[in-house]
Amino acid sequence: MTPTAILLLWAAFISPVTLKAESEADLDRLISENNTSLTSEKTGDTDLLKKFKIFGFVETSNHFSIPATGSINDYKIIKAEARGQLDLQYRTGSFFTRATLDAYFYPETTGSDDNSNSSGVYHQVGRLEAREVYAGFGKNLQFKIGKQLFTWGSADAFNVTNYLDQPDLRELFLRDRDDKNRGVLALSIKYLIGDYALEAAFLPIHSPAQAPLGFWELSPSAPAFNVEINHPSSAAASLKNSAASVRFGGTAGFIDFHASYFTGYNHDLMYESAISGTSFSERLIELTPYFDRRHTFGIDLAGSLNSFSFRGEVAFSLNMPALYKQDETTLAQIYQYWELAPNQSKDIDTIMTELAGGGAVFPSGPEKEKHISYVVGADYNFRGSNGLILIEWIQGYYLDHGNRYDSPLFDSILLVRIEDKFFNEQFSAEAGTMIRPIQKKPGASAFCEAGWDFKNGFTLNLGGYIFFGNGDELFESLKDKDMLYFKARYLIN
Amino acid sequence: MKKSILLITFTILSIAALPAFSLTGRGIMKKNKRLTEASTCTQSNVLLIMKGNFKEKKEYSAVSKKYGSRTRTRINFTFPSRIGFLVWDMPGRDSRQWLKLTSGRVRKISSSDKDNPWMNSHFYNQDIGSRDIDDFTYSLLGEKMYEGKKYFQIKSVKIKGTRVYDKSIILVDKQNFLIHRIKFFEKGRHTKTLTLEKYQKIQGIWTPRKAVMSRSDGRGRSIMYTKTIRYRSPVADSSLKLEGF
Repeated sequence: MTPTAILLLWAAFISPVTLKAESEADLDRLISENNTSLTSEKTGDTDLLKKFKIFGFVETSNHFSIPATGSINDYKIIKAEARGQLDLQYRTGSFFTRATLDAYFYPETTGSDDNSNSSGVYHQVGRLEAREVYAGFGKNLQFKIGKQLFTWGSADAFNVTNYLDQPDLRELFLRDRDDKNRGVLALSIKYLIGDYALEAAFLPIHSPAQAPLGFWELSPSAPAFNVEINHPSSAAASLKNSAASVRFGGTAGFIDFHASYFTGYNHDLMYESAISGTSFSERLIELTPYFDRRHTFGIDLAGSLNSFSFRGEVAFSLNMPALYKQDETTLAQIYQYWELAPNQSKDIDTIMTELAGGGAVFPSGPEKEKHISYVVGADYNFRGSNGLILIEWIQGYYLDHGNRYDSPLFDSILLVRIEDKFFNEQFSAEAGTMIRPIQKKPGASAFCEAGWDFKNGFTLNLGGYIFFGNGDELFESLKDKDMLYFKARYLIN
Repeated sequence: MKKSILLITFTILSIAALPAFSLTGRGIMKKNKRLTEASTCTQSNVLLIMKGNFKEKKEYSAVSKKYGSRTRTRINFTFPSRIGFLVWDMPGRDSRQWLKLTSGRVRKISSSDKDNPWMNSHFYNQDIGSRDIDDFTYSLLGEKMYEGKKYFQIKSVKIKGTRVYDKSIILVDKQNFLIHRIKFFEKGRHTKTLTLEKYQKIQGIWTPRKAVMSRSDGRGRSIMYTKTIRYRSPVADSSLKLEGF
């Protein structure tokens, strides 16, 4: 048991002492004694008006892969992580600053498993990350500079109008919902006009989506070729690779709305494929994350009616990067060329030139096409405010020649999630599915989680994911990655 | 002459005594409202929830500001979890509510289900937030002696917006017009009682430091303690706007 787990278990059982210390009798005495001091400036400082706030949590998070054999001896530890987060906020007058820092620790283990680093688990090293670090000033006109989260968009699970935040896909779906994005270096301005706001942001450098790593690294397949994924690197830090965005919105009646414009590099995970190798035995398809500039206009809405809440986003890009699909005919032709002369050493460009001379047609480089993507979602509260059914759908398509191009990673996915709480909100349960009904190649995942809240800041969660692939780009590469997880967290206030 | 003097004297005395006898339920509630109203209020509270053997403590702070008949409130829970609420109350209409998640995302939430428990307590969603006097009718039922003190007994029925309770019976202190107790009725039955205790005069405003909502069957209660409170402090409008949330 890791030291973190021991600390967390101690917190779960010791912390009820805190509750007893502030019982009804204690509080009766406190409010009776505090009469004369209530009008002083100091005691009037509520949490909302405090100049300095500090809070965070410590957590242990552990993932285990479920082997296809079903034998307990074949379970693998995918992640054994201790994490601490510290959120520091300071505000005085019009000046404010915030730093949210995450520290990750992994136990030292030995082993020589494939795809593992020296710690024996998958690509995890102790590190300190800043989720947000910024300073700002202003009230109705606010300036903010530093690493900051924007959290634009109204949908819950998928956002097509959150152009700015850096998606963190290192653990794909197993990332906490709170952690699916990380802040980006930016200068932002927000001007509040009544119940509306005009915002603008400038991002001097490109922060690409953090792609799935280690165990979660996607393993797409191609007929008779090896496939290798290169990890993303950002575009060069220069002003020509910067991004900018403006947004106007607010609340009108029972609808919250925003209209936005973005110019910069797309955050969607798109992979450009290139066939490489000089001989039959070295045949390889390399997938390299591809980024390019786009101009995008977006709208998002949210509203509620009785127990229903609904939300939607749409993003229209004038020049969305479009990558040709690596079609099977192309691969088959190259494979056949090599198969006939397996020992011949020729680079792929030469091979393709020869084949083109014989009438073969190969797709050319990236294009730019008009593209539209949207998210629609709704949720319904039942059993008071504890029960929730959430449904959300994301889809995108190129308006012209759509069949030629690859789709972004998260596309054409239907999410259905049910969650509820019982026993005075101590026990929480959620279950759901993600389905990708793409024509003949549907993929899906099913997930569930149960949690216990000790009501003293300590929570335990246990859950699992099962994946069903059928040749689609996403779930097919996850179908042997069913897994269980266990998480314990203690809040620090 | 003598008769005229007597008549005039009687009339003058009657007029002097008139306010006491002409008080209506609404008039009493207006007097109460004037005692307890402030343009802004910032406070930190503790909510104790007791249901049988289950006990829970929650801490939160709240900032509210009046804009005419409308009120905007921002609530930050600090223990055991950190979530924020923004509530806009409008007279005669359901309130608008947003929830700020720990990820920073702001989520519009359904403001219906006024009869649902607020934060798992015995307070309903409707019990939290401002009450506009014009959303209710008030009928003075008479006077009542309770624990050695005299109270006005007023029946209140909601006529605008979502109605959770059939009626409420309010006990208002006859001397100082402070609300002592409210009995809530649902489907003809008395289900809950709100008792306001430990009144203290803070910045000239009488403030109950303890509010106890208890089930009439004795099976549980929730207590809201006001630990600190400050009235009329400057509250930035930006902090009560959706875009500033």
